[in-house]
Amino acid sequence: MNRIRRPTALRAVALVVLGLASQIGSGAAASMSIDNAALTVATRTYGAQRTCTLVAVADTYVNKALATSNFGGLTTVLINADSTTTERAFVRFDLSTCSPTIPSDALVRTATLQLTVSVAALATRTYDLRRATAGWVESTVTWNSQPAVAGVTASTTVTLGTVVGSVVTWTATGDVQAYVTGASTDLGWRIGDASEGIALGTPLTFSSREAATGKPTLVVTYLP
Amino acid sequence: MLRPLQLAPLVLVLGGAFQVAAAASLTAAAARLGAGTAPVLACDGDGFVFKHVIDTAGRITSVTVSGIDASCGGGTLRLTLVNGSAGVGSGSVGLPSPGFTGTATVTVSAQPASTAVTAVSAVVEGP
Repeated sequence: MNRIRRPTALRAVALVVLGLASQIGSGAAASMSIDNAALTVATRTYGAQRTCTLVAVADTYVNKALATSNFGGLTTVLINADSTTTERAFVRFDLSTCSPTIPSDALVRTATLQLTVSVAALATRTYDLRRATAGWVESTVTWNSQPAVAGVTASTTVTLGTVVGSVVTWTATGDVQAYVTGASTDLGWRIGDASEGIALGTPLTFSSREAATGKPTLVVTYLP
Repeated sequence: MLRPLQLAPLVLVLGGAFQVAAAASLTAAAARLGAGTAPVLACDGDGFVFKHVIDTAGRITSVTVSGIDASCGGGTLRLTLVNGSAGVGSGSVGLPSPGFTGTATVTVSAQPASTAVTAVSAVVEGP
């Protein structure tokens, strides 16, 4: 956290006032008064842009048809709009592990959450990213215990036939800024189909952090 | 060379300076200006902390300014978002008095993208 004061303006004011006083003082007895005018100036100039790339520290998914089951140890996370087997993914990153640490008053320029497709997409669907508003544990969370979420942060459409290895992204700049400043507690995100409840839905499969490649990633650029 | 924001207090002080009064002394320091029996004291000497609020489109919608000395209550906080030397967003808010807690949120108009901001400046006018 930085507290920066730049008294340049006040110095300038002081110099000008002193200059005027000198000029006035050189003549007949005279002076000036400044009534009820106080100024406080502060400027925060940010440093050069930095980038922090994080791999998920927790990820899993929940399944409506298996409402008490946990899938936190699997190498994939699934998202499905099917009304019976609705599936939602959860992912969380630890911003405190960025090195150097992101200051709490940093300005976040971009934050991009990336998931990698591990099975070719079987349908064109839109997927919503939402900030989790309650805690969840990778190894225990289930459909029945899944956390509440906030409104939609970002939506991304994946088209039919999107191939394995494709990276799907969501922009979460505002959420990450709130996490950095402490305005929101960093509880990760939920990713779900934007139109759940359809018949004969098919899952979209992404690699999880347990996979050998294509782990969920968060890329943050910021000004410290 | 003074930037526009730095010229603002200059103009105000010059305006006051031309109100020539009876014999009085004048002192000046980095954080204190005084004239006669009406000292002028900047209300905060150790700077502010700025925290931005960004919407889902990546635009800065407001800035929370903290670390403001309680004695600034009753003044007006004017904030400018800057890109290089150009202002790209601004806003102001009155600081309550009494009961000012040292934190104020300024809603920003123009709402620039966070990628378009390199600095933020604030001026408290008064109290």
